[in-house]
Amino acid sequence: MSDRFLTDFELMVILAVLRVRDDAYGVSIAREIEQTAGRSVTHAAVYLALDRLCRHGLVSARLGNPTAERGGRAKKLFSVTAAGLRAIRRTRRAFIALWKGVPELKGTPV
Amino acid sequence: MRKLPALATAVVLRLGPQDESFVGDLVEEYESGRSRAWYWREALSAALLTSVRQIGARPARAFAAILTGWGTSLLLFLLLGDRTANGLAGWLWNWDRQTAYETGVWWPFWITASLVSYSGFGLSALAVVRLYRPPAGPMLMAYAASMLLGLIASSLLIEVLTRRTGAVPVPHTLFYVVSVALPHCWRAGLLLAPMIILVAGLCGCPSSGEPASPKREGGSRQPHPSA
Repeated sequence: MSDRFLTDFELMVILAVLRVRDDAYGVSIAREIEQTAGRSVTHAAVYLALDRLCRHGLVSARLGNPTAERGGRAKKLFSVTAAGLRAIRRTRRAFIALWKGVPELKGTPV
Repeated sequence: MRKLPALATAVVLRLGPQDESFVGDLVEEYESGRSRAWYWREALSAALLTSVRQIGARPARAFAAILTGWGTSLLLFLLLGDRTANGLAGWLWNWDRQTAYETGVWWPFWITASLVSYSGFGLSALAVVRLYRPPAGPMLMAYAASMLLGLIASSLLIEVLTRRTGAVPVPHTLFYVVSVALPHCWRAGLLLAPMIILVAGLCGCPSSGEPASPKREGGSRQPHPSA
């Protein structure tokens, strides 16, 4: 159980896991971030963020079946836990609270 | 199936996140048409990010690994270095130190001393990866980085002292390390010593396997193996 806030990159990764759903593994998560958020990422950065999220119980992992196209290596499939969902909401609330009341950002949709 | 860049794969397996699935992701992307440059960029960033994180998580262990590396290389030189370099130069070129003082012919000693020095760097790297595993890779990176910084500092010190005094000061006991930073070879030595540490360490580093086995698809969900 963790009450921590997510960093901006962790937030992107965990949202990408939610968006990809059943097939959330390193490649699909990195592609989702690049295509949807327009941020270029390395797989290592995504993996380390996922590892950190796993250690805090915000994301869980399980192994898929090994495939030939991956050189006989299994996919590690990720899914967001209930604690992960709470962390996303908590972080979103914090960002919105900070966003509101900033004159320079007035009129910018949240 | 495209042939993977072997050295980059070795870097990932030994210095990257100790996770076969991560390598599988890189293989899948490479198979789907990514370039060798992309694969190398991923391999190097994996090694760097993993090392920074592991060193940050285990600073005392990293410090001990650095001390072990430096200690081993200095000890090897103090015990064997000068004697071995002298002996080798004599055996190969019939060179001896006494005559060198008179004739000024030092190149045979420079060659053998460099060979002995760089072998010492390699052996010290092996000591680090054997003593500090897991995670051997990040500890090796810490030692290589400390050697790079040490040599940069030595080079700058030598440069400053040479300009001030006009002579090249070489403390004898530190010759082993400082020799690679001497003006006539420091440009090569600066990178060569850390590179040899990395290459020798990579050869002695255990390749990653899956450290623990989460259940296969369909089984109950498990925490991350590295949790």
